[in-house]
Amino acid sequence: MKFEDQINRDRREFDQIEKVPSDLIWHGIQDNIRKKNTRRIIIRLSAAASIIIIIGAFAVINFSGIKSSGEQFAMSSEFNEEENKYYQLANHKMTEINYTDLDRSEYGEIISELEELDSMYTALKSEMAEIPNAEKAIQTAIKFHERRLQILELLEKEIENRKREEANESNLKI
Amino acid sequence: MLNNQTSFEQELVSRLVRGDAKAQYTLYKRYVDAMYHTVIRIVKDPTDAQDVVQECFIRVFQKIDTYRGEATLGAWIKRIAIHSAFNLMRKRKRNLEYATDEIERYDIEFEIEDSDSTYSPENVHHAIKELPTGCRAVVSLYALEGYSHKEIAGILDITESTSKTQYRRAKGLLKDVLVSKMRRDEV
Repeated sequence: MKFEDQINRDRREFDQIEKVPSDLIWHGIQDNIRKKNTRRIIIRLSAAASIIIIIGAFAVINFSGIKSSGEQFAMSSEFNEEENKYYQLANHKMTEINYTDLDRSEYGEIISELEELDSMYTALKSEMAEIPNAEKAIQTAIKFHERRLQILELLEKEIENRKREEANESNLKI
Repeated sequence: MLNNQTSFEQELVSRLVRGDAKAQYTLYKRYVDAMYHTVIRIVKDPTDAQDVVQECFIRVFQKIDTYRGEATLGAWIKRIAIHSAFNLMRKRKRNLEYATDEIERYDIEFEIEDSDSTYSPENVHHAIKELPTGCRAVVSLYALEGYSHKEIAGILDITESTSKTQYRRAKGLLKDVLVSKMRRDEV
């Protein structure tokens, strides 16, 4: 019988020779999937934590009596300078990761969290304008900017990871 | 309509697309043995084979929504396993080595008689792992996985004629390995 015919006849047996470390491989798969999911969850939790910070600030402003009636608070130029720096850093990061063109099917949840965070901050800032002593609110605003930057950095890492995975896959020529 | 899928596979695939963990495990148990054997015949090293099979199933779970049923599910997964195996070899910068012996030496057809004690699937499986990397890739893909020389040429980035030549050499070398194993066993 020809070699090829013999192999075809016994083909199933060729997959039953080695002892397959099936449990070990499965655990590896599970670990890997868990790690990837954890990366996503960390980013979302960071965004959620930032939202909580802002909600906390609203509570302080609205319920602690520091809101004035009509007296306008002029944001200190020091704060404005600080905030501009954060915006510049964030904008730079956004340009680096091509934020406006990010695929929403891939990063939609994270982008939505960031958008929600931004709109809450805008609302917070208009509330801040009515506060005579805005020290607490300014601290919150700085925290917000630090958090926002951290989220963008996490997002950048996630994009890099995804690119690496895609590069590996494109080498496959499947 | 998915052409080559059984109703079991169709159901399994739709559960996989939804990310059903039980369906992932069912698929894994169904195909892990075949994938491991296919991969180890290419990469030889058991730890590398584990890594490749692991990577293969992760990819399968991630990309299951792109499976269109043009090949059977098993064939689709096997293609991913095979490409993952060569991807690992490329990553490790292991160039495929091809047999360079005179081709005439292997021009005789490899016939196996029923009484031939050198042949058994186990002996052939282990003998394949003894071949030079390129040679064993060609013989595994052609004789065991059913790829054509044209497809092999595409996967290994060689010409179709090199694939054919390497296949003939691989068969000759296999015969040598099997015969010397038999002699060792006799002693």
